[in-house]
Amino acid sequence: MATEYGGYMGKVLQINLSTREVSEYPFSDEERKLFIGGKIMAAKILYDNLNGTEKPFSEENLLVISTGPMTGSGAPSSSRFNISTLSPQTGYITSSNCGGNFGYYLKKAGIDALILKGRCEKHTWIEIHNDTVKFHDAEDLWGLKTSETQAALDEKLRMKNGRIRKNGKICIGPAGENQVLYSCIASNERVSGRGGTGAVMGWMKIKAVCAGGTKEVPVAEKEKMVKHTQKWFQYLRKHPLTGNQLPRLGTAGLVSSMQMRQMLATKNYQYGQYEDFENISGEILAEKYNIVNKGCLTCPIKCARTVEVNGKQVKGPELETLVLLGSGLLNNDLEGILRWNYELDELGLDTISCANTIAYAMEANEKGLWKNGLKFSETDELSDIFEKIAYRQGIGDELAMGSKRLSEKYGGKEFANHVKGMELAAYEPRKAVGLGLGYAVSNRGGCHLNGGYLTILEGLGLAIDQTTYHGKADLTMLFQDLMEMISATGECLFTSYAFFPSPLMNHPNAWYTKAANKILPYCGCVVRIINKFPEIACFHLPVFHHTKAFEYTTGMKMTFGKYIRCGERGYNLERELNRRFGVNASQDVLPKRLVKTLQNPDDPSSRVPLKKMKRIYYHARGWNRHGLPTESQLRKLKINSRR
Amino acid sequence: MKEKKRPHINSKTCAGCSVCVENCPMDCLKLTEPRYHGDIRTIAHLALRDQCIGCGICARVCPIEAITMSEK
Amino acid sequence: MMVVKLFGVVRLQTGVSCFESDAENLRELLENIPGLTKKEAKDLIVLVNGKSVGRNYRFQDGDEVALLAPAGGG
Repeated sequence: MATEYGGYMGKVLQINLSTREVSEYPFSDEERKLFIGGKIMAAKILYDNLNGTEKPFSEENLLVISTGPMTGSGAPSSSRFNISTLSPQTGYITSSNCGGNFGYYLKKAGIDALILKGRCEKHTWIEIHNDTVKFHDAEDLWGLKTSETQAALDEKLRMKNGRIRKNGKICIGPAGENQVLYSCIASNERVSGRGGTGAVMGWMKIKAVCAGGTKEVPVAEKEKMVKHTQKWFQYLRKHPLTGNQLPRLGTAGLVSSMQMRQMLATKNYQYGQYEDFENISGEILAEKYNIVNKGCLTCPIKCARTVEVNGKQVKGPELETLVLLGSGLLNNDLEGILRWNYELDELGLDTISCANTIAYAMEANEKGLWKNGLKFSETDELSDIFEKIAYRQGIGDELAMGSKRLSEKYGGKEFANHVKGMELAAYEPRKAVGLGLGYAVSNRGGCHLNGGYLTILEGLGLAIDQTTYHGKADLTMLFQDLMEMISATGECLFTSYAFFPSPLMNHPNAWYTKAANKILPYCGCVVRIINKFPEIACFHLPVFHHTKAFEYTTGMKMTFGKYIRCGERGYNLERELNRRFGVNASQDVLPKRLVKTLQNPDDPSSRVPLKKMKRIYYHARGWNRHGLPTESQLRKLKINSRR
Repeated sequence: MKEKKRPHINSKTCAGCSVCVENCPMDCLKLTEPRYHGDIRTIAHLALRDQCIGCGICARVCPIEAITMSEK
Repeated sequence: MMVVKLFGVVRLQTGVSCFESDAENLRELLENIPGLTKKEAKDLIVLVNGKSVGRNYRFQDGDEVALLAPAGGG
């Protein structure tokens, strides 16, 4: 299967694990133009193969690992890859992005996407090198934690000259092996964290996949791409978020801002502020514990932290982990969080879902609904609990179900903080109602990124009114579509921060920034016009390097309007796929606490006006009142409805 | 004897993306390690000079042509 | 007298995490932030007891002042 476009290797490989048959999955250039790569390509593949009767742990489910055309092109922050599957947590599609180097090396092997289907007879690891695929017995790896697994795989790839053959890997830990519903897949120190992708891989009896090779990613206009990339790298280096805050403080740098804006999830989202927040802040992490900041391959931003745990240098916690294992549990022990972050990564557990499940359990215990012995602020047993979850032992077997199923069993649904079965992120949405909408409508469940990340406007980057519903629906749609496409191309979402011109970030009190804050909630009509007529935005934005880079790499024409339209297509595709599995407006709901209980009893605006925003959102999206894409919407987006 | 060519990395334009580090077959390139204050930029450098075989892969894979091979 | 706290990159830049101030109003405070010029201080996000206030705001005893910069994350 060849391609006339640059950025692609032209091959989607399918492996039937039951028969060990390796074949090429047909994916045409016409499809590449529409479905680009990454999560959108994966959604298309799942869309064409699942009809709504399949179960996550079945031979009909697919695990699709896909790269984007920008990966290997030389663009900054472009090594991200995506893993999509039918989620055992939610029963809908999950797409989980990862910054490890597996995608980069998959392309070196000449592959754009890898489809795993079926189930191995025995525990297996797969080796892909250029055009060769080998199946190996994984009995000696099964049971190992994620870093041990990756080290052992490197040993297996040691060459006669003593060097390790260059490779990228994905692997699961004990949690994935035991099909914990929120187990994840690791690649180096990064993680495809959410939705239970690890559990599906564990069910398939795949311990790991290693990829590598000597092929090179073709770039359509190499010289122009190099010049453009030089400018792009410098722009990211000079931007106050990507060139200053993120490298210095990491994502942890948000803790203080979230506290000040009252959106710091505290005591299982009972509150939006935590009196001990300074003990778990990014500032303390930078001053006392961070050894060096690290970055994913190809990235100049370097937002990752490195800390010492048990005498070893390991990955430091991201914001979500810091908050949800910190204020979320009323815990102010940062050293504990550093340790648990490492332990959860080693076991292969999603830190967000795990922490929120424990927070639910603590509140259920406090309210007498479930006597489990877990109490807020008491964290001595947590390491032990995490092990028990990964190995499904004792209370761990129950906690492995996640907060949705536990609340169905024990009660307390109003404080089981998930949407569609996937737990929420660290932002308390009663003071960031746009994100509240995003959580509710996000395709993969309670996700802040797939939900549009409106907190960047609602007090963190810019400062629009946090609790007004005005404009939130349209802005959510815009950012969801933008981020969908950024991810699909293989780029990191942090490159989207450059969308906010530096003057806005450097001068928050300037008249133009204040004007932007005031006007943005009323820009819904502009969003809708571009949505309806993307040809109006037939230009490249100087602050948004992605569109030109895409053109130079692939040879495909791309404008800002087209870019958003591609993202819109991807978002609708996932929604239409989810429709087959039963999604509609009645699943787009938040836990009762967040819509009914005021965060601040003296502030009547401090809850999420979800109903109102949802109505506007569905209308903006061209969906019917049940929250489903109409036939004409699908036709406009060139999605074959197959109804 | 002709001096082996070694990479010269432009410290002004290098963005620390680590593609050269990753692709070096002899693992002799490393990234600098800034702390949280001062100049936070990370750049690549030839950490293990004697291990370098002068293959030029680093210069070839650098996405912004910040590496040149020279005998100096 | 009130407590002024610095967060984020501002804290790292100045090396100061908090200090006490007897400034009468916000304008006066912003002219006297340790480690920052008046021009740099103008670019801070200032929250008094969690809320934005005008430059002429007159401080009251016990006011908590937070100085921040815009931030992004994940």
